[in-house]
Amino acid sequence: MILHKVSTSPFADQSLLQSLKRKQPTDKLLLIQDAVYAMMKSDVTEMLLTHRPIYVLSEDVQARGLKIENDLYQAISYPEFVALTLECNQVISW
Amino acid sequence: MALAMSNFGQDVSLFFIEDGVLQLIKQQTPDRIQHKAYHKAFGALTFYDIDNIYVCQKSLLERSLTSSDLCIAVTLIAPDQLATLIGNHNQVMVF
Repeated sequence: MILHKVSTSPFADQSLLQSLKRKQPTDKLLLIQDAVYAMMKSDVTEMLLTHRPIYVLSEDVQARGLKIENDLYQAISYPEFVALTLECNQVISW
Repeated sequence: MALAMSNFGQDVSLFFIEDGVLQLIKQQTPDRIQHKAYHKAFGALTFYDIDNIYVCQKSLLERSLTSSDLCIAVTLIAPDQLATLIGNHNQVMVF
């Protein structure tokens, strides 16, 4: 099981889409920093539906003044982020 | 930069396009990630006589935002208006 960690905005580059192409169904996806803006992008949200849950770092969501409006996205804290990295065999930082 | 230029009596316009529009979202709490709350400075622009604040309507729409989600009053522009407006300026700096 791999943790795919994406940190850049899907409006700005292809990292999120590229990671999705290489993600196994059992892998996990975590959005941090500007990647949390994916929640605003409806076509990306649609693509993520089959990959639920999508983890988003709570601090980064709040800092950017965003709100989670789709239960597809699950907010996690920094300690939960650490637990997630331990749970997975590898972490890929896209 | 915009505030400094205005202090020297220059007419300044600001354009927010693409992910730049995200800078203007209300209720940001950048202290949560130890960042400076510089979105608060946008409210001061009008005191520096910077009233031409343009935001790309398409960029807002793509991000499911409307002007009511923004922390200051702005002028919405269509993508094709940007080129025309930029043409009216002598210097253009991109951040």
